[in-house]
Amino acid sequence: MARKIVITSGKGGVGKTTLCASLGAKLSLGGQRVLLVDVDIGLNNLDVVMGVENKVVFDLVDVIEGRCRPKQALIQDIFNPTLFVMPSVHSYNHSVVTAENVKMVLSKLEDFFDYILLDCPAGIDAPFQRAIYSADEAIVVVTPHISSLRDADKVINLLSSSNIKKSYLVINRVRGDLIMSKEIMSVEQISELLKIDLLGVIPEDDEITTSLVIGNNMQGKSPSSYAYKLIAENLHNGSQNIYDCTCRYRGLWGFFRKNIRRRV
Amino acid sequence: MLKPNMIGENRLKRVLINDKKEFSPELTKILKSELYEMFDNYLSVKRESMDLKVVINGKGGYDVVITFNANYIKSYGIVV
Ligand SMILES: Nc1ncnc2c1ncn2[C@@H]1O[C@H](COP(=O)(O)OP(=O)(O)OP(=O)(O)O)[C@@H](O)[C@H]1O
Ligand SMILES: [Mg+2]
Repeated sequence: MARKIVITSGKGGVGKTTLCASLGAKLSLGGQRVLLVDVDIGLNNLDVVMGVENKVVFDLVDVIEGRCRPKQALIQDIFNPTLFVMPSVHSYNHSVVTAENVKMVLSKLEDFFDYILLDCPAGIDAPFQRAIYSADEAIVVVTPHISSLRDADKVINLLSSSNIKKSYLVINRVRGDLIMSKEIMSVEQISELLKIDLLGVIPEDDEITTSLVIGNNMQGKSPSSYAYKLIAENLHNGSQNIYDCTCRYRGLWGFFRKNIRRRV
Repeated sequence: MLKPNMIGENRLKRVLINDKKEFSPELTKILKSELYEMFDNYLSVKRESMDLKVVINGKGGYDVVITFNANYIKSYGIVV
């Protein structure tokens, strides 16, 4: 039976969908059967991030409304044969998508996968509640900004009084050069204040933007690709290897890199 | 002079504490009333002076501070 994990944040635009797609890719590269489900109905993007937007025939709403069977709404990833996406492209008729309906769809698929990752909408209202209802675990994504951390703290509190049994923290868009010069909070400062287990850290990386434009879903050897790989391993094995965003800015080369980065 | 990372940490701490200290008014009312009943067995409590504050204590828990004025201690027999 699959581990069902919702990827959430509170604040919008912090990298949930990107993490969902990239983590799914890394888990499937490690041999896991992974299903990504877009529960961000109306503001869906998982299909685009996965580069499968042209392949969508049926979606989650079609399954719920009985127009197709759950398996007919699955799209296989181009690069990883054990990675599948269930998109949600219908922006109308939200009301049919209840938490119970989503759970029922997932229950029909969970025996065929090792992981089901749910891409959650931003916010803490009904769509958020609907997304977390079917999951057992949650990954809370934050960026090192006070507004994002504050919203995440509210989400963490809500998760602790919900059906979620275990929550993890992922800190995204971290700039090692700014941590080194003490201009932003360190990873340790953030995880200590939010008080949930740190699953991983992802550096700010232009490669993510490029990879999203061409739709190749982090196949390269960029720092963020490596960070996603560590997160997948930590999630799967329970290891605690956290990407060190500051390592590129240490030593003589690091000194130059840091100064160049500040000036451009 | 504090570095920006420490200023950020202090600001975040303050925001998180403020967000959490909101104890629902209903619960505060119930607690106050039950505490009044309990203290009133031993002290002559001025009901309107009773105040209850719930704050996050930095260790993930809450500090609950109760203050009130009492006119006198009630006599409730001789304690040996
Ligand atoms: N580590 C990173 N470095 C650079 N850019 C990033 C990083 N992570 C995410 N991004 C960029 O941030 C933007 C928002 O990411 P994404 O869509 O994954 O956020 P989201 O949390 O799913 O947003 P929403 O709340 O709207 O669903 C995207 O353009 C993405 O390319
Ligand atoms: Mg998204």
